[in-house]
Amino acid sequence: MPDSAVVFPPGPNAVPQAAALIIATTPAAGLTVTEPQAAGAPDDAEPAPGPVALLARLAGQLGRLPVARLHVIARDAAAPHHAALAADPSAGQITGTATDPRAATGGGVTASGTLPDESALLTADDVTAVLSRSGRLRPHVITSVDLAADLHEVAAVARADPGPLLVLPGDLVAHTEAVARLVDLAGPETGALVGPAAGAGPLRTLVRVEDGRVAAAGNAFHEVTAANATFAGAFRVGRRDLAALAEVAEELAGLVESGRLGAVPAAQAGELLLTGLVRAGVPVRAVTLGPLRARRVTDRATAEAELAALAEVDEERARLDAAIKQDDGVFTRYAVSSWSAHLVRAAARARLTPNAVTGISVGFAAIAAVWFSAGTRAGLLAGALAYYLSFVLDCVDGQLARFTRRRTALGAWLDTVCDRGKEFGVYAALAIGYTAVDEQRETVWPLAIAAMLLLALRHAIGSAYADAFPPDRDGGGRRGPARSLTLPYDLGPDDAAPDDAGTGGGRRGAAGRARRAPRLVWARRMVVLPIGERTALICVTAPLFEARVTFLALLAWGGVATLYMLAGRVLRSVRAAEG
Amino acid sequence: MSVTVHMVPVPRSPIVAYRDDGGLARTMGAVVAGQLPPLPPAIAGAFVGGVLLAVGVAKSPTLSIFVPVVAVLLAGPGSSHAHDGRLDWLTVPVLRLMEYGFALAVALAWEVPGPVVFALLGAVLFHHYDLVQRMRQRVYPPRWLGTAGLGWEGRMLVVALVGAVPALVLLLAIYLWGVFLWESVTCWAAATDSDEAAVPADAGE
Repeated sequence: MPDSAVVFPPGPNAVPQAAALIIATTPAAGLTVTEPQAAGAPDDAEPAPGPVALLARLAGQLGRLPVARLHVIARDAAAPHHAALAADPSAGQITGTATDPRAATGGGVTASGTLPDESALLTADDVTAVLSRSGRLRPHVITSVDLAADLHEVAAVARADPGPLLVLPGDLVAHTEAVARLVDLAGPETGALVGPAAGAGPLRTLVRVEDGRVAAAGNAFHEVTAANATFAGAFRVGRRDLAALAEVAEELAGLVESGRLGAVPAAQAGELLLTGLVRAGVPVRAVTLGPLRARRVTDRATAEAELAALAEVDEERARLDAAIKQDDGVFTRYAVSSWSAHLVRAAARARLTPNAVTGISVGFAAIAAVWFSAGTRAGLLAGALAYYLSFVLDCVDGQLARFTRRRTALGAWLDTVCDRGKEFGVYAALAIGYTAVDEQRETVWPLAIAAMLLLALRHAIGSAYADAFPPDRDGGGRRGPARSLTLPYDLGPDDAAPDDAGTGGGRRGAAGRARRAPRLVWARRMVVLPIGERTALICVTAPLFEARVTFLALLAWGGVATLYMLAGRVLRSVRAAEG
Repeated sequence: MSVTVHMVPVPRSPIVAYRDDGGLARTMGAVVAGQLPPLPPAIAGAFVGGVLLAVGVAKSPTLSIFVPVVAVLLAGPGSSHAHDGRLDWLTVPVLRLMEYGFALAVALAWEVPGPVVFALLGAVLFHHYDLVQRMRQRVYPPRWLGTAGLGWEGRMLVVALVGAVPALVLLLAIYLWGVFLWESVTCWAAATDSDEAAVPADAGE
């Protein structure tokens, strides 16, 4: 029998929200800063908050994202801060102001949730006080005395929290959208926020990115050969890789305790962990910042400079660009995505939900169907125009959902059902219009039905294959070879394992192909007749010729697409069996 | 105060759920207890069905019934298999091709009005697209839906029997739309929204 266990339906709500772990062990996390007004901020944006500690700013940002739990590692109040700094001389070297004698005062948080002394290391009490007003997240505060203890605590959190887990430094100054890109990574994925290679330093360590993955990550002990990017300090660990994170953290703690990592500063806990994950063979996606910024800061001057730089970037624009998928078909890219951003922004301003946009799109498709069913030349032309607008709105609803982070399970279902409903409704309308002109032309119905069935068959091939080889079971989630953490050096790009017979995830292969021959990639995307090309085919052939030609074209192109998809998937299945 | 909790079994694999087996195929699957590989018999069934249709059995109710009978005898027992072979996912498109192609051939042979055939296959397609979304969003279909929806083999048998009478085909279309649409809408309306629904990109789309 197909069912082996009776359980409660997990439902969409069973997908757990992310947790965040802030390692707030540098003095800069307690810096009190005033945020400048962001450029291009909409009129209804919340007013710039008053002075706020960097840690509280970060926690507030996390509170606006789908993050459910917040863990914070702070320094133990019992441990004298001077002693901690003395034991870790490089920390002083990095932070500069940390050797200020006032650092010992700690505590003394004012009622407004800010610290009177900007150079103090945060204690657990400070963290609780600072975060008391920073948003909806109630922090789980952990105290720790040094780097090794920090790493043990990270391991404990990785074991206890169901994940996915974001790990961020307390001194991170970043766009909310930059952090959101980590939060939004697909369920099982692990990824790290990666910025440009220029300006590397102790808090912007070098990494090497290959094919969208972090291939090597450095810190004060571990070197990186042929580095081409820097690590912005924050990473996200998918649920599948939490156990690996715990192992790596314990291993690193042991190495730190035995002194085998030399003088790695306590501030580089996150950097060490990233190196550990990469060397353990965990696939770490390089989440690029694009126009956005995310940097760790050390003192008031760098923090304020960074905040000013953040304000100069149009964050909304960056989010909009990211919301508009670039991997669609040719028609979608040039005839829809080129101008749909304006519609997305307008819909967001008008506070339309994605489902409302889907509804409007269905309305346009209904208008198109009515015109198509008239069967006259003018009707076919008007119908084509309405169907094109319906398709544009159909793209807008998904973009709006990504833009406003309002993706819902019901929305995904509604989108699919409406897409097919609109498409097949238009097929029926075209057939009705064709027979309305001449009763003898009943023969168009089998063509319309065959076109519909062929598309459904093609989708069945796609979904069955996709579920037989989900990316986290095959390729994408596979561990690479592990390398020892005791070796300081990196073997460089040539060390990377050769592409595993093409099964190393479609993403990697696709990226390689895109570099080699962009035209070939476009041709591959068009041959499978994606929805944009189908829409264009209908909108062009129906008014120019007649419905019969439209169906014949859909059947011919769709037939080629079906065979192409089927052959590709069968070959990949067989190859996966060999590898 | 009493609380009623509806429990829905989680399908063992999405591929098995996509097969859309009815009561008959499931019963046959239970008999062989998953010992029969699913793909080769399904391909054989589709091939035999295709040959039968090619020699023109669609026009005769007594002969056309052989297509679903052969199909269910061959492909039905595979329903209890885990479908974990490398190519077992192909069973789903093979079953689809068989069902869609047979319905279209019978409708053509009996000259059932186009809109009626469109409505009938539209209901089946709605259910098949719905199944994929259900598995991805974990709003699993209840077991009775497979029985009430007749399954691929049940629908083929009914189409073979009623294909000669367009009114009965229309009745079947109305029945299937009623079952699939009503169940799906009530189920999705009951499933609460989520902010973090993992929606994998559909291949080819």
